[in-house]
Amino acid sequence: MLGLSYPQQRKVSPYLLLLPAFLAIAGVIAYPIFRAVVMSFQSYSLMRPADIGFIGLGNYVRAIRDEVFWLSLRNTAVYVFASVGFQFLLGFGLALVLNKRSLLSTVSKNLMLIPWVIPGVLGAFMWRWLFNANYGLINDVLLRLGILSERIAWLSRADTAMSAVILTTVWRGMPFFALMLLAGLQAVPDDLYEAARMDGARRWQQLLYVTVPVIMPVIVTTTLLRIIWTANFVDLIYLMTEGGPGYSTQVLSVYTFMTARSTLNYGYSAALSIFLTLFLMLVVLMYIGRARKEGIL
Amino acid sequence: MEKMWRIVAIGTVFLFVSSVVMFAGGRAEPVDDEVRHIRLWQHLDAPDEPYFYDLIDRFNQEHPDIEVEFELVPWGGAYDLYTTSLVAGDAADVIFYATPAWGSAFWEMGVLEPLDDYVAEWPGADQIVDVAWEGSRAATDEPIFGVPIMTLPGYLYYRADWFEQLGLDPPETREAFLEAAKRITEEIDGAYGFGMRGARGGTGMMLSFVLPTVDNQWFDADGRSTFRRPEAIEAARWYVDLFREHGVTPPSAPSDGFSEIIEGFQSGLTGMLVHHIMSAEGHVAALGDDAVGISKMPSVNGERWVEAGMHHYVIARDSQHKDAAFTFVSWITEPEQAAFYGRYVGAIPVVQNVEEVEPYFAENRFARTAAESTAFAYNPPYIETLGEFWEQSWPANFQRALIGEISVEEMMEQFARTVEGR
Repeated sequence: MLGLSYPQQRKVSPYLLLLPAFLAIAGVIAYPIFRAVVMSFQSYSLMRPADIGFIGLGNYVRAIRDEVFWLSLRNTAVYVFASVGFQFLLGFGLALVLNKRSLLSTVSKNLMLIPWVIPGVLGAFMWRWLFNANYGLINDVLLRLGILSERIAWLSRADTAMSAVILTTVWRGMPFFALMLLAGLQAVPDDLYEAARMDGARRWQQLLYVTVPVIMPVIVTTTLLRIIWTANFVDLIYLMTEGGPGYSTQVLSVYTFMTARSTLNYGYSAALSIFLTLFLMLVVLMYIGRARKEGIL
Repeated sequence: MEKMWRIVAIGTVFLFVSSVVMFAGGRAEPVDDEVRHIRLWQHLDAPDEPYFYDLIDRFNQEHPDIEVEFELVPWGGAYDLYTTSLVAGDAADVIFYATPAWGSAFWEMGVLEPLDDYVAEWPGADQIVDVAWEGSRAATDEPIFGVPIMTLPGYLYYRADWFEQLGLDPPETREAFLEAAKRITEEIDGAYGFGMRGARGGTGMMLSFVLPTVDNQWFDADGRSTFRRPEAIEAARWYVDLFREHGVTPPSAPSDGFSEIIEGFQSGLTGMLVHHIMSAEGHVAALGDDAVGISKMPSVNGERWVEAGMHHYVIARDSQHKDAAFTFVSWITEPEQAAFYGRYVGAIPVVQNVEEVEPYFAENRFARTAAESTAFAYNPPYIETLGEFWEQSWPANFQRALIGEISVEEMMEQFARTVEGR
């Protein structure tokens, strides 16, 4: 074929077979990223299509001087750290409980998946109404139990809105952790526990010295994935609080989205998203570096 | 093996060719035969009701040489679709929008067709009320870019049963409004006086209490925002204090949006609400006709200002059939069609003497109050940063002032900077 000798064909054929996939990836991933990078160096506002042109680091300088950018960055760190942290702790606990083989655990495993399979938009609206100050179930239950003496406007106060959003994120992401860690737990060979028991290890020692080290690669990979996803979330916070009240739940992803949408300034918005990518890469590299050093990955 | 190679080679070539064809051509233009096809993008508040579709059918029957292809656009995604498609030159010929900031944005982008020549030759143009044309151009000496069809001026809904119980009259002034709000909060169990909208969309509500103090002007003669003037700051403080000082709004006010304020009024949580005619039916269904009172927006220092909520039709600059598009736009905005449409979707047509065209607008009390309110219903001025002010700067800074993170002076300074485009 094509006048190629058989050895040449053998050399070329893998690339030809990979070409369609490569084109698809280049089209839907590489090109948009490239475009965003280019846009971040441009004055690119749909309000002024005639003035689109390169402005060097203008958008980046503007971000560094933008008070809301720094506020959003701080909020992003708090939001990601707290929600991934709690998701891990609760997900791990749930995975340990479900690791026992019983009818209850089979039923629970299926039920547990509900928050994960509910579309994000639906989950956000559901929790917005649960947290509603006037008709919300949460206030109602807490009032009836006597824990609260008056209704709290959870999503309208700077001191509670972030916690409410974090709680919703934890609710949504916990099943993912539980499921991944459960898969990891089920792969731990029984003889390791047997050996530990023979050495006189108590239950918590088995957990700490057998279970955790064995499933460590799963823990690292799962948290890494969740950090990236959570930092990139827009739907949940946007639908629950739109970053408010004020800027108290404004995270970088929501700020980027709102800048693009309400001001149509795609150039600045692209620069904000590049910043977010750089910060995320920094966190991920540090995380992987640490994991490599510890011999986990 | 040879056959296998052939399949791979043909497949790859096909993939290349098809991708080139798909991305290079764009939208194929309809052949310009006798019937001109024009696309219309519009959102409908009640897409299940037949009225609008009937209008389109009527147009198509009366105009055999034009075929309007109506595409229903969901409200939530309309702005993104319109802006990106207009810039890309791939939008529908005719677009309907309900937010003044959009018109400013589209015109600034240079993607709309100027309509002065069409309007000059159109006899029906005189039947549209003069004030409505103000929102159709960037300034009085600038071209017309949109044809207005209807307006949704805000007014005050109040709980008539509570007002009667407390011996209150509908509030004519800001002072009477505060008094009524206080009495409701104190004397009606579990209720608050006013359903304040602190989330996105509440801008006009605050401006109704602020702009009258500065003669309904956004800018001084030197181009500086009036939001820095002491009387505007005082008025804004009065509005913020409804929440902070007097507590006559629900504690959730900073994050309350459209659904919360409507639900609050209909469930008996709040006694007063500022909204337009489109929610009237829902209030009556929830509370009964006798319990729903309406009155014009309270005045501040004898002046009133409400957001006009003008709805427009615009024609895309890249449309291939601008004449046909204007034939449709002029037809649907003429009194008979506009009155029909206004009545059934629940808005006030901007045609002269609308009550003579359709008596409903004089007989129905909601429509009457709304029609009376058009006397002081204004569009925001044409400013490039209007979208940013309305959607981003206002909610964020107003909420910060409500929860005490910034002072009212700082809030107004932020607003001034945004509208000045700094």
